[in-house]
Amino acid sequence: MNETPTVRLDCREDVCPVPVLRTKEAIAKLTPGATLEVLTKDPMATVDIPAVVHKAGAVLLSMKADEENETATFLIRRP
Amino acid sequence: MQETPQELAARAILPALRGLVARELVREHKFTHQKAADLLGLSRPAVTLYARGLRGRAIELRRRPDVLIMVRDMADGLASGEIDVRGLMTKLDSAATYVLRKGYACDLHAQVDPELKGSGCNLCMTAPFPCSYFHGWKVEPGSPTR
Repeated sequence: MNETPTVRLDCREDVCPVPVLRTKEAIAKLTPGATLEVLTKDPMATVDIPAVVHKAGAVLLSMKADEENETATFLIRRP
Repeated sequence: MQETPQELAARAILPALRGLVARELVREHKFTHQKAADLLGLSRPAVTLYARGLRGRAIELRRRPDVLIMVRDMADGLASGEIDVRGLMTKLDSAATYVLRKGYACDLHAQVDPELKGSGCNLCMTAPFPCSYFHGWKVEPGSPTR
């Protein structure tokens, strides 16, 4: 899905558990219908970010892994 | 005096983190010292000392945004009932390991053990990051968390 995110959160310099906590706070600040793109190099993010999205009542639209740059990109929408 | 990183964590980092969580509960969540003490598993006088910044001052963590985001998460979790004192212990332990791993306690460690200064010590920084942080969550049925 190609969608321009409303908010972009670059967590590539952060390590566990900071990317997930920054994502959690960013979701809370989203207006309904807005989307959030999160970039991270944290290897556990592929487990923890879907969990925090679920707990926050948001929707994970996509999760892409860029293996060359060791970066995962998440697109999240607040309903 | 020689002190292991874990001894440093027990003596300085964990009290500092507890203090920040106590202050967050009192200042942001407007809890009484007694209510904060109940949530933290501490005595009321201990919370009073933490809230006034008279305890947990050995290491300065208030200017570390990455640490403060963990502190807010812990306080929010306690305030909402998402975590209990056991969950808090898991998160505090992980947060203390994080502080060590990021090298935030190296200056303090070198004050205690001057031989460390200039020694190239990177013992803490080679340890794995504390991904057990989220084990403090209460897992709900159907949640994809581990």
